Amino acid sequence: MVADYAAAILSAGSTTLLVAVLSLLVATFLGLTAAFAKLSASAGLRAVAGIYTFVVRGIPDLVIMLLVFYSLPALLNQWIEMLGWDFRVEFSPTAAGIATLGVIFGAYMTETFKTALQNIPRGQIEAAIAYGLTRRRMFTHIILPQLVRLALPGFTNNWLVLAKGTALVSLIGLQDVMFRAKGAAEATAMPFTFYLIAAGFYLAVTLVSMLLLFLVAHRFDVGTRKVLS
Amino acid sequence: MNWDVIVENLPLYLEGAKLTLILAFASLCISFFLAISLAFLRNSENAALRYTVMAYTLVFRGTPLLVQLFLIYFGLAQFSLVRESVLWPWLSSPMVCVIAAFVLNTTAYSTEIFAGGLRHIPVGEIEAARAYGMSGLVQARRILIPAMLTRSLPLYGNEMIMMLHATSLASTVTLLEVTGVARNITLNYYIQFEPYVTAAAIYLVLTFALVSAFQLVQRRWAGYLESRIG
Amino acid sequence: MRLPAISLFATLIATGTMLNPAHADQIKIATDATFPPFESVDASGKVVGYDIELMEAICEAAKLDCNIFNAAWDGMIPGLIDGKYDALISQLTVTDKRRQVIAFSDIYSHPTFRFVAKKGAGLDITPEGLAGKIIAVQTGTPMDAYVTAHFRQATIKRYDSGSAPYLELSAGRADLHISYQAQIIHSFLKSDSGKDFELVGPQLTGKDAKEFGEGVAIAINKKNVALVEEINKGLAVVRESGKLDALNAKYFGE
Repeated sequence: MVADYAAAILSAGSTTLLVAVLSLLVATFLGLTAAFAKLSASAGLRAVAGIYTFVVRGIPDLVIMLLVFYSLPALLNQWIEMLGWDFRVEFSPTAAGIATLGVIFGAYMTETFKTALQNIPRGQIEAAIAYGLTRRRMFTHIILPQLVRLALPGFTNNWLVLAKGTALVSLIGLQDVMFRAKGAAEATAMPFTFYLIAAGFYLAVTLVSMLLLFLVAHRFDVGTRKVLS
Repeated sequence: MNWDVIVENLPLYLEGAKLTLILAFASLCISFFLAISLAFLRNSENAALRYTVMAYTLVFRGTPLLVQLFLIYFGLAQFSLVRESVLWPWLSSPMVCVIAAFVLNTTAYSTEIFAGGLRHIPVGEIEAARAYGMSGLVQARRILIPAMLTRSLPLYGNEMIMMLHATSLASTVTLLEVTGVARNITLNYYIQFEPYVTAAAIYLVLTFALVSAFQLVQRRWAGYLESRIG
Repeated sequence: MRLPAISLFATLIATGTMLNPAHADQIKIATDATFPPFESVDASGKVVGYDIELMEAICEAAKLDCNIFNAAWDGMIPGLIDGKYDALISQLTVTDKRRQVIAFSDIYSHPTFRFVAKKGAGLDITPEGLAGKIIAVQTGTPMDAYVTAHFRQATIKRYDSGSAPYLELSAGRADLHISYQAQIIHSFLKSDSGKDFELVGPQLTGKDAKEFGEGVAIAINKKNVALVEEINKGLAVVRESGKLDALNAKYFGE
């Protein structure tokens, strides 16, 4: 019986990982956009990005998730009804989870990317402009490769926190590892066993991620001089 | 909009905010001292000590806080051995379990942060302390710990905010801090917008206060580092 | 840089809204599957139980395309009011308070409520007798409303699932739990963890306290008058065909 429940719990791992990876994509794009906004010349863009990171980092993840899953659709639908339109906004727990985690970690990624961008030697950007490289080219050939190397530690950290943050999505009904573990724990009155299995899953994800990202860091470190740490 | 429900329940929210702050600060205070000691062990020359601490931080940073909380609160109670032990009066209380889980979790992160700070102290400062004839304990007290802490301030500040936010998870084990109050209101009054927005606003205020206080501390104690880090 | 970002967002949002489990004309029925034997999740993750079988029978009789799924109790009734769900079947008691915001089908069951406590605890089930005792309940249920109103001197602990209070009872963190008598007997007392526990106190129904309502029914969005009628028709068919009695015998017959 424990084996059946355990199998069900671990098979939900694909849901957890799907949500985590999609959230990471959303977070990365949001983070890059907001980082450029924060470093832009326009005060308006800087303000918007500033408000975004301030608000998101000032509210607990769980509360943001409850807001996005419960409050946001309720509010939007009220307005839509008032406008007389005939459709509804609906978030499945999966979509709400991805949106929430993406938005939350986008704010943390913003800081990671912003610091990394600021650490690219200004001289290289000036040289690129002097050579007449288009902004596109400058981004792909000069900025991006270094951004990857400089942002990698922060990026890894954010990914690890995000992967564990997916456990919260179980609280709004997403049938992921944590949700199944809770169900099994309550049905069999063996909470320790099943939460331990869940913990094991997340630990495995953490270890594998750390290994993979270590290999990536190694690849991108080629060519840099190392100071004794 | 049903804001009158919120106004009616404002006292509950305030009680919740009090509980949030108690949980956060109790956990932070206890883990602060634990983390300082563990940071030294984490950098110890004794490999066994180093790896033990590393295993602890790896496990507690590698698993979600929610799982850790459930393991301690629901999981431990599964065993009659635990229920009949002398620890039970403590472990049966949700507050104790929550603080235990938070302490274990934040100590792991703080240990890594402080250990990192310790490693980045310029060797010159340590050599000078030795040259002055300071014993290990005196070195630690007068040179190492202050230097370690000031270098860890930005990251530790982040960790403090994380801890403040983590208190919202206590709502999953019957504690009525701010999030718990909000969830209770949705279940009893059938409204979903106002309770959570109010909770969010309270957290924003608390976080802002904490961040401001922290920036003051950072300027006062670690200002000398700023020009170097740039 | 902008264009890829915008297109990514568009795709993700489209995917997100498409990740909705239901089709447009499917009836979305939510249940809080933490309440065996009425609704629970089995080892493979499927939603099963008395209410599920009943709902499936009703949908078949009323020729409705129903999708019954597990949802968090937190947002079930507000979700029904907002239109997130079309109906709820979860042993929901019909109370005046709820009638103000949602509509109900015809009542299909009249449950009895009872306290459960450790054998030989010798508890005096009165407001004074339970002063200082810990009563575990599921938040937002009629049992919660009842103990909150009548047992003010006891400590009430609230949980967001129907099964968590039993864990707390077994752990000794709660002295009593109050729930549907049938549910206590069939999901707890008959299990390993329940063997040291017994039913205590009087058998309570809606006649004893208004918090216990009039009976159990299916909850439907107030605006969806058509659905209320269709479900009632289906329910009538199920009753007449004897399926309801068969279900009762299957789950609660001895």
